[in-house]
Amino acid sequence: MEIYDLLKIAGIGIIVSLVGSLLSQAGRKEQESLFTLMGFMIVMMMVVGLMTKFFAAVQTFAR
Amino acid sequence: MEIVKIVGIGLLAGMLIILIKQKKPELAFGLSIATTVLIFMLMLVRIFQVIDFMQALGARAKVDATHMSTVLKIIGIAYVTDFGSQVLQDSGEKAVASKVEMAGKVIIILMSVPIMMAILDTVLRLLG
Repeated sequence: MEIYDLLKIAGIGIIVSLVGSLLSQAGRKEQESLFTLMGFMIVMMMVVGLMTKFFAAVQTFAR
Repeated sequence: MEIVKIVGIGLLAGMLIILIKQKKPELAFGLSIATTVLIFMLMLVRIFQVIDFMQALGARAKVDATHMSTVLKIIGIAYVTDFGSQVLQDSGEKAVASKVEMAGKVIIILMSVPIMMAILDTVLRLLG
């Protein structure tokens, strides 16, 4: 768990919002929503991995 | 100076969350969870030191070891519940957050029943 994980998620967020606004200005609404969904899925997969680590760490309190 | 590192991470994450929240609030949600987990992981070694200290205090005061482990379990439950409910409140889901808190309270009351019974036994022994 490093600060790079944080920056990775932030980078995905910034890229998704930039490309999303480009796609919506080019008039491709459905591709924009699919792109947003893809970014959300990638971020969620990373967040679920982090939360698994977090809950495992909290469970070691009551050894 | 560990605290400088943590405050720096917090401020950086706050700025990034504000930046992302304008366009994609759902990705900002993931970023805030990741920040919480990162700071918690950085503090994990210190938390274990505090727990060891608490266990040493309990052993010196001759507190029952099962009671100490119950207290630590309750602290863990309270921490996880607070984490979940605060993330939910940040994203505006007050109803779900209050249900998560309710579940945490019920589980904590159930886990503290043996300790309350021990207190009751002690009081009854003093009276009778």
